[in-house]
Amino acid sequence: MPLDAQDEISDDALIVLYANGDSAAARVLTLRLTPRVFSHAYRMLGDRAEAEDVAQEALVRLWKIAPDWRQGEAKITTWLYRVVANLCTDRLRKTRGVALDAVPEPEDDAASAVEMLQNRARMDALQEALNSLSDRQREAVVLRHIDGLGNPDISEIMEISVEAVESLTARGKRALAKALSGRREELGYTDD
Amino acid sequence: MLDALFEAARTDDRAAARPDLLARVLADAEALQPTLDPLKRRDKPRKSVFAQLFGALGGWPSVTGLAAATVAGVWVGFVATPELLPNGVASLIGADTEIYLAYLEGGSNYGLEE
Repeated sequence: MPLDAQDEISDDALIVLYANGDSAAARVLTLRLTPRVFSHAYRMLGDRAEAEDVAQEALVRLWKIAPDWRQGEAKITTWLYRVVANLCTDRLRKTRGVALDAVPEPEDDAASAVEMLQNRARMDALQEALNSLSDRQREAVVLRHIDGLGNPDISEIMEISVEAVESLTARGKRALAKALSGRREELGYTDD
Repeated sequence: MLDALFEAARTDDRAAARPDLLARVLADAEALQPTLDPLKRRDKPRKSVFAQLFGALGGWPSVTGLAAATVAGVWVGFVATPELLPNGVASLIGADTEIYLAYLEGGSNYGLEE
């Protein structure tokens, strides 16, 4: 497969190529899907190691189902988000109550120390606020506002109506705003 | 503030997949990737010597006929008595009689002399 053609090939076509033994398709799918899956899992769990396990497991399930993948029935990303949500829910049930953001992170040399600390504090605050939401609210908010998906896609992933998605994201955003309202100055937001 | 936090979260390094995760996922992908192995698929189970002989004889119809003939031969061998057999054959299996299939007279020159 030519390198310049990789971006134009749909996930559906790539999964067929993968199932037919095309090693380039395996690489492209890995590079295309892993960041999305991991990012979503991380926002759902708030823990890198757990999110990495979930991302790896979700993709293992995709590799296994690839030969039987039914074209046109569901988008691969939709299916993956669903798998990630289920895996995250399972893990959250087991680890409920345990601090989820206790894993130390590597330093970023590029950012200044102050900026880096402030960014970290903001992301920690956001994650804490996300963790305070119900699993379904968090999933809807993350899919809509961080993963950038549209409501129809989210409705398919969560298997609920578009109206229910709108309601979940609206309530989730209100809950987040409330959870973060007292930390505006601490996080360096002087105006909105 | 919330929108700014969401925006920052989209580019948050901590939510970015690390190279070692990508390597692990790719290793899984390669390990689980179906392969079309033409040599393996063409492999048929090896036939036993008996099966090869069976095939060479022509399969069930031929082998059935052959077996029937063999059994009949064995049966004839057991039950045959001089009375049951034609004269010529009966005298062949008689132990006390010397009979030759061809009897040539001694005086005959068999047409060898001119």
